This record gives sequence, C-alpha cells and structure tokens, in this order.
Amino acid sequence: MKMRDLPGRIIAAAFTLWLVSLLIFLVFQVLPGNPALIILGAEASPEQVAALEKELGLDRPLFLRYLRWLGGVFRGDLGNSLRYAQPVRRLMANSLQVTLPVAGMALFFILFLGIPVGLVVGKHHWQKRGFFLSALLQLGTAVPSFWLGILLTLILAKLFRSFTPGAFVPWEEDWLGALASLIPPALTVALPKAAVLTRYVGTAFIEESNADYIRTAYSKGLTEKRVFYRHLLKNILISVITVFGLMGADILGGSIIVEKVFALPGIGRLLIDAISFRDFPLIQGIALYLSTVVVLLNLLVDLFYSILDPRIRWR
Amino acid sequence: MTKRKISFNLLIGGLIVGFFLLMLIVSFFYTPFPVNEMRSSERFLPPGWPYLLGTDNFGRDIFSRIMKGTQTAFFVGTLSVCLGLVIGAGLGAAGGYFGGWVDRLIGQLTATIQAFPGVLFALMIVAVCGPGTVNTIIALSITAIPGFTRITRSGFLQFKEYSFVEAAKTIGVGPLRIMLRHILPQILPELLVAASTGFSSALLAEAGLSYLGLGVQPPEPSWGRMLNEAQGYLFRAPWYSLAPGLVLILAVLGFNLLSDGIRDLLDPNAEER
Repeated sequence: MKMRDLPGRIIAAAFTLWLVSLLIFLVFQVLPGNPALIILGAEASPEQVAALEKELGLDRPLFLRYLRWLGGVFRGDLGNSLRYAQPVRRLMANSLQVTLPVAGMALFFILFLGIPVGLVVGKHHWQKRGFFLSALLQLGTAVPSFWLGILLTLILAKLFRSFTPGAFVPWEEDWLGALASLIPPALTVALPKAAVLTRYVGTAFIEESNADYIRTAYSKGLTEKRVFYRHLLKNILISVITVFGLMGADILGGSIIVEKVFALPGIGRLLIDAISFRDFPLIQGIALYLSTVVVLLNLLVDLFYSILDPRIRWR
Repeated sequence: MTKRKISFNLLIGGLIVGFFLLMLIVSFFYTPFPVNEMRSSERFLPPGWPYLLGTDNFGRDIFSRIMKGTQTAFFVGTLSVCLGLVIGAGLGAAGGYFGGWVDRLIGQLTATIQAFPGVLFALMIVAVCGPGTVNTIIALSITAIPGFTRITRSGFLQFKEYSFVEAAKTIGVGPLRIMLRHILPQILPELLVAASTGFSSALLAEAGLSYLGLGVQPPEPSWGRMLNEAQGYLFRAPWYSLAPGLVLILAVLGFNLLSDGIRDLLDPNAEER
C-alpha cells in the first residue's frame, strides 16, 4: 500500500537527474572557450585545432554530442580530462578514496555526537535548555566550516607537536596514518552539523515526551525504558531523518571547501582545480556525480520516512 | 515566557545588524588606515594600538580591511537576495496561482537547482563565467531562488482560495493585480523573514567562494578572501585568521537572530521549530 507511490517518486527523481545532466552539459557548450584550444594552447595552428576538434567530436551537432556524452555516462565513461589527459572516471575514483572516508567519518561523528547529546539535553529538563538548544543551532548554522577547519588546525598544532596540517598520507603507504589525517577534516564537517542535530533531537524529545501516545503508554503501565525504546525513540528518529536529508547535500557541499582547508586530494579539490583550468569534462563529471548523490539521498530519505512513519504518504 | 524571548532575539539580532550597518556607513567615509596601504616595516603586528586587530602580511591594517569588507559582503548579499527574492517570488506566485503545468514546470526547475549541493551550483557558474563579484552575485541569486519560490508558492496556494480573492475576481480584477495587491501583501512578512535568513546564507556563501579564490577578486577586500590569505600565515599571525572569521560569524548570527525575532514578532504563537 505505502509502496504504491514508489514508482512515481523514482520517475520524478530520474527526470530531475536527466534535467541536471542536460543543464551540466549545455552550460559548458555555450562557453566562448574552445576545449581544443585549451588543450593545445594559444599558439596552435588552425589545422591542429581543427584536427583535435574532429577527434573530440566538437564538429558534430550539439544534440549528437549530448547523446554521445550521455551514452558515455551510462557506460561509466565520462570522457578524458583536458588537463591531466586521463579518464575523468579514474581521477574521480582516486579522489573519492579521500572524500568518501571523510564523509563517512563525518556522518559517524554527527550521529554519535548529535543523537546522544540531544537525548541527554532533552531528558534532563535543564532550566535554560531552550536557550542552550537555540544557541547550539545558531552557532551550528553560523560558523563556516572552513573557518572551523582553520581554528581546528591551530588548536591541534598547539596540542600535539607532531600534528602537521595538510599532510595526507596515501592509503597504500600507511592506512592508519591516512585515517588519522582524515579525522580533523571529518570533525570540521561534522561539528556544526552535530550541533544542529543535537538541537533537533533535543526539541523532538521534549515535544514527543508531552505527546498523548506517551501518556497512554505510561498509563498502560509500561516501564520508562520500554516507553523510551518502543515509542519515544522511533518518533525522535523520524525528525533525525528529516534533518539528515537536509544535511546530506550540505555535508557534500561543505566537504568541497573543507578539503581545500586541509589540502586533501579529494573530489572537492579536484573540482576547484578543474574550475581553475576550465577542465570541462572533469567539472561535468564531478558535478553530475555530486548531484546524483543528492537526488538519490533525497529519494532514500523519502523511502525511510514511509517505513518509519506509516502515516506519511507521498503526494 | 515566549514574550521575553521574542525581544531577546530581536534585540540582540537588531543590535548586531545595526552595528554592521553602522560599520558599513562609516567605512564609506573613514577607515583607521588606508585599506590597501602596505607598510613593509609593520608586517604581522599583533592586535593592539594603533592597529586594533593587528596587521597582515603586507603590513595592512586588518581592522580597516574588515570594515571595507563589510561593503563587499553587504553589496553581494543585498543584490543576490533581492534578485533571488524577485525571481523566486515571481515563479512561486505563478506556480501557486495558476497551478497545473506551470506549477509542475516551476517545481521541476527548482528541484533541478536544488540537486546541486551547497556551493556547487555557484561553482559551476563561476566555472562558466569566470570568477568575480558580478558572477558571484548571479550565482548566489540563482541558488537563493528555490527557497523563495517554495514560500511564495505555498502562500499563493493557500490564499487564492480565500473569499477576498474570489470577491476581487468577481468584480473583474485581473490576475496580476490580484497577485500583487491582494495576495502578495499577505505573505510579505514570511518573505521578509526568509530574506533575512537568505542574507546570512549569502554572506556565508560569498565568503566560501572567495575563500576558494573563486569569488570576489583582489584588491577588493572580502572576509572570505582575507581568510584565504591568512591561512598561509596561520602560525605566524593567528589573529589574521581569527578576526575575519569571527566577524563573519557575528554578522551571520545577527541576521539569523533578526529573522527569528521578526518571525516571533509576526506570529507570536508559532512554535520555534
């Protein structure tokens, strides 16, 4: 019954993705810069440029070029980077080895800081909890992640003499060292988000504790533990998922900047470099990848929603 | 209890925003030191007198540069929020009022913009048009559109069913006039709150882009740009990194508090979400 709307939701997401791909492709076609010229440099002869244009397929109509690019996307071939002369896919795969662990660790920190602290704050009806929670949210939304990263570097360097900012050890060399060097960036991404999550969990705890179904549960004679695990926690988690859905895109977008702060060779830095060198195939590939993740994440959140809360129906 | 809190948000937010407005106005006539004047003998001086927040790697007064940076921040913020508001509200009004395929088209458009996480959409624009203040404004205003569209759309959906709108229709008032004169004023307060929040997001986004070196270009002082330059001297001159960041946080905090304060003031019964 509740899965009935799923196909429609998936089609809508697919349609959005198609529009995104169209936008990403077209936006770089209206550009004045000629990719062949970018590769060859300004001194190239017109014949050389024409030859490379033919090789890159630039002499074909726009529509065919789009189809060719899209066909490549489905086969997992995103073309070659103009600057590195390597497949975009390989460049992205390399940098994802850095970005994905950072995002994963950030997610971990957000959940394991945000939920417990939020529950504790909500449970103990602290006198000024309203103020405390609002202050957390305000700070979490106001502190820019890149500044937090700079601050964290400064603090860590003062605390640990051995800490060298911006030193990423490749996984093959020393995986423990690599993991350790990813902790500060992950914390930088996570801390503001954890503050926001704490606030939502705390508020949800306070609100849900006063709900009718909790009173009913207590009047049935359930123990506090059982009320908490069977009734309260589940409803609090729904609000966690809402916030999470909103955060998913933020975590990805934030990691673009945070990677620059810690000089990590991740997808964000690859993107910034690609923009500086106007490496269009690379920009297109990364942009498509990031927006696909966001669209899929939103789809997933909707799905979780309907599982956790059967009252929610899609439009 | 809520009564007291309203004034708190509004008071603190208003004070902070007022402080920045004052700094903005003063910076047009006066900064303690010329913004771009370099004194090689006075590099990396810690905060004190006469350099309130110290000096940077060129011996420029950081406080003066932060003051001047207010101009950049407010220029980018104001223009991008205004553009985003006008376009976003226009789209939302059309979608909510006419419904049908217009609504679906606009909904799809905003969904497409929102598929790009965080600064990615802005980064793409910069990649296409090149870095610079104007392109930053264009990028940030497009990013701001979906938020305003959503608010306006739901407002128009709600109010177009009201009898005062029906009444206006019956006496032959045209759709544009109904939208502008009858429905828009109803949702103006909500848009105002969103604009204040949007302003702080624009401040953060501009600082982020400029920090990446893709937003406001030198020699125009920008808080984000200052952080970019300061990071290279983090251990030699930590104050250089701290000051622009703290000022940015204070400004964002001020506008967020102000928007909360306005919302509470307009709708005292609304639970703080």
